[in-house]
Amino acid sequence: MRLCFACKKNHPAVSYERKVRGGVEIEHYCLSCYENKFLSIGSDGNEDGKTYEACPYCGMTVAEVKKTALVGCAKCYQTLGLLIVPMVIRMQQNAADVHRGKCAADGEGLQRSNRRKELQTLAFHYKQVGDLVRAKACQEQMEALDRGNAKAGRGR
Amino acid sequence: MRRKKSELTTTVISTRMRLARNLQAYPFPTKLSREQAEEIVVLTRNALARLDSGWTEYDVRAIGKAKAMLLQEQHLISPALVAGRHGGTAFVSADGEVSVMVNEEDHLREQYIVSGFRLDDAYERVCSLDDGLGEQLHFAYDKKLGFLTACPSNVGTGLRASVMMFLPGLERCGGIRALVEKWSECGLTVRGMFGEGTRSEGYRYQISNDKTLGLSEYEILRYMETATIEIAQAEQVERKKMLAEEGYRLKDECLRAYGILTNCGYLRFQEMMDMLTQVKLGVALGFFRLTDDEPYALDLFIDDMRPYSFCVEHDLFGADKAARDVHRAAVMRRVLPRLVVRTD
Ligand SMILES: [Zn+2]
Ligand SMILES: [Zn+2]
Repeated sequence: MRLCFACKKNHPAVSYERKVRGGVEIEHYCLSCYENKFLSIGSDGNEDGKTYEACPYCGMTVAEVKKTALVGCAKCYQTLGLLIVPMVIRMQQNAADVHRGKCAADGEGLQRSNRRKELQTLAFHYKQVGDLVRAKACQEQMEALDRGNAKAGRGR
Repeated sequence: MRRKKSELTTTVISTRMRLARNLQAYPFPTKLSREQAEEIVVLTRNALARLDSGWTEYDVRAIGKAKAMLLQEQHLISPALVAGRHGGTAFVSADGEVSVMVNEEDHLREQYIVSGFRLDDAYERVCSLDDGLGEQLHFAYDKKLGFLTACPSNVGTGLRASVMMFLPGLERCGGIRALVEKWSECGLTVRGMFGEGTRSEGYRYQISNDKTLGLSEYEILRYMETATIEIAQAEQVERKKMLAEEGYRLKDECLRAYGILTNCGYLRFQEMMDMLTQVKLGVALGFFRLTDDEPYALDLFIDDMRPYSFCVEHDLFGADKAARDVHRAAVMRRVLPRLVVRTD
């Protein structure tokens, strides 16, 4: 009996055709592996896990991705997951792979603080060039981040 | 290891590292607005200035074609950066060795290129720059997919390590195709420079990792190291065969090329490149030796003779083609004999 390519336990529900030298190899995955490995990106609570015809964050469409092999934003990996995950598998040659090696500055808190640094830089920049509207917008985003951080702090 | 290194100096020309990174808060370059693209430039400029002084900034819309072509010849920017939607920007380090391209295919492409076979040094240099940037910028990152990139072929480490090799023996014996197939199964690509497929210009081939997900940077570098050393050894075997089978004829070809280069009065670019390839082959086969201690002196000289680099160095932008060809011949006559001499 055929089993999921990744966990080698469950029955497969999704199949994926992988081009190999001299033909096509079909790989089969159970839904939980398929989702678990690839469709849980940016799981910071406000995602609904659906996939779309176009990415609601950047507007990238399925057709565009097919044409250019480029995604539109970080969230596309989730919102257009059904299209992009097989692309990742094909390009990276192995479905069972997850990232190893260097990590980004880890933890939500630190990442938020990096975005805060970015906004601070931009607020300063816009002030310098006299664009006070944008400077203020950056300021407001910073405050929103701070409120979020305070909330996250209380939650812990 | 020392012995291996010296064998590698006539097969490996240069080593290059590139890291792809994106900022979480912005769409990737194909979906960026003009303002967003400029914000990323501001953020990168600011982050780099905090790490190091002396970065030079090039806005490809502003620098003009000649400068853009020169930077491309120096491998500091890519054609894709020049062709980008909003026009990309490049930051080049004070020593001219590291560049950060902004708004190419990804928001950031951090890259470093160095002569010779120096995978670990090259990675360390680009990695420490990346650490510094990563402390200030919110990179798009996912625990499972690693660094998120515009093309899924780069997710994970975002690392493309490549080694430029000089493989006349393998090309002449038709051994390249087997290499391409063998290493593609291990997640590495072998391609001829200046062209897709397996043809090359000047026997130059680039070996690089295809796979960026599921392997750590360290593992990628080790794969690359193994592949490079194996290919270099196979190349040495073929060179010995070449010498045994057609040594006299090859020596004659190389000497004739050297003779033309050191005696001509008029030298077109393409002819020069073909002849210099013969001279480089002659060095690899031991008909010539370099006078310098610098083992990459000839490669560096070839780089300096590329069209835009040559015109900048010798102030020839106003000159017509014939004048340039005459000047090129004069430079060649003067420099080559000082750089490369016959061994017999
Ligand atoms: Zn499974
Ligand atoms: Zn998107």
